[in-house]
Amino acid sequence: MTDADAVLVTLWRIELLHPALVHFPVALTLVGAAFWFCALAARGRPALAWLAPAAAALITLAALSAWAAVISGGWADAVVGRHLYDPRVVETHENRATLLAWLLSVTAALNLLLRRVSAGATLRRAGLTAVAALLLVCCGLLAHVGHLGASLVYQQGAAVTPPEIH
Amino acid sequence: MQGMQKLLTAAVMSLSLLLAACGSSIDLVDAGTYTGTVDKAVPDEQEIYVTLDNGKRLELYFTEQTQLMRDDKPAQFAELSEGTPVSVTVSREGNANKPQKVEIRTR
Repeated sequence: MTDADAVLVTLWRIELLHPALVHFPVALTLVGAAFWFCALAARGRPALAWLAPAAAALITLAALSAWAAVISGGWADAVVGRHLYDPRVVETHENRATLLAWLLSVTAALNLLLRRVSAGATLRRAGLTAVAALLLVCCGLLAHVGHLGASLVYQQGAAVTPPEIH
Repeated sequence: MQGMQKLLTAAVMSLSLLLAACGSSIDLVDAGTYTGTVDKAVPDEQEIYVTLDNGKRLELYFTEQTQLMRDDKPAQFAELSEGTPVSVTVSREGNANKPQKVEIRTR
């Protein structure tokens, strides 16, 4: 490729921080949830005792990275929002991503609390059920938020700058 | 197994309720002139959110063509803030509304 063929826009753009960060909560939430359910199924097997703390770490990191994605998403919106064909999609994406970050934070906190605090059998069972339900909701919401984000890029060209061919 | 079914049902119902309660908070209207109130102004992005008298909420990005007026004279974006009554003339491009004219209502 020569300068005469195309002018490529730099990748060092603030709006591209969001796609660079957003895949962390996607991967961490799904793997964290999978580890958590595996840990639940593997209770009583010492060889798999590492699954529970690993799941707790992954879910906590998922929550933290979700907030990083929400913040960087706001920066991206400031750049691309005015050029979108249907800005209602980005609004829905933002609202539901923020909700997901809150839900992941609550899930991570509750899970850590259950690991640290000794509770009665009934209370512990209720706590584990709540974490399980929250993780399922988070995974479903994650898929939906991810779909909205993908539609912004692949249907509306958000933050996509094709080279100008001369 | 029955417990797992209950858990899945509860998760799906919760997710549906959350999605219904947390959708887009902006609307789309036909081209025309509407009256309402600014509920948020973002100077850095030259953007305002306006709640119309009919209850709909618009997100409007100013363009170079947008006229901002007060008492038939040009006004500054800084004059817009939460609670400012406005009359907006918008066009429709795609599924977005573009402000052609924003008039700060003084009476």
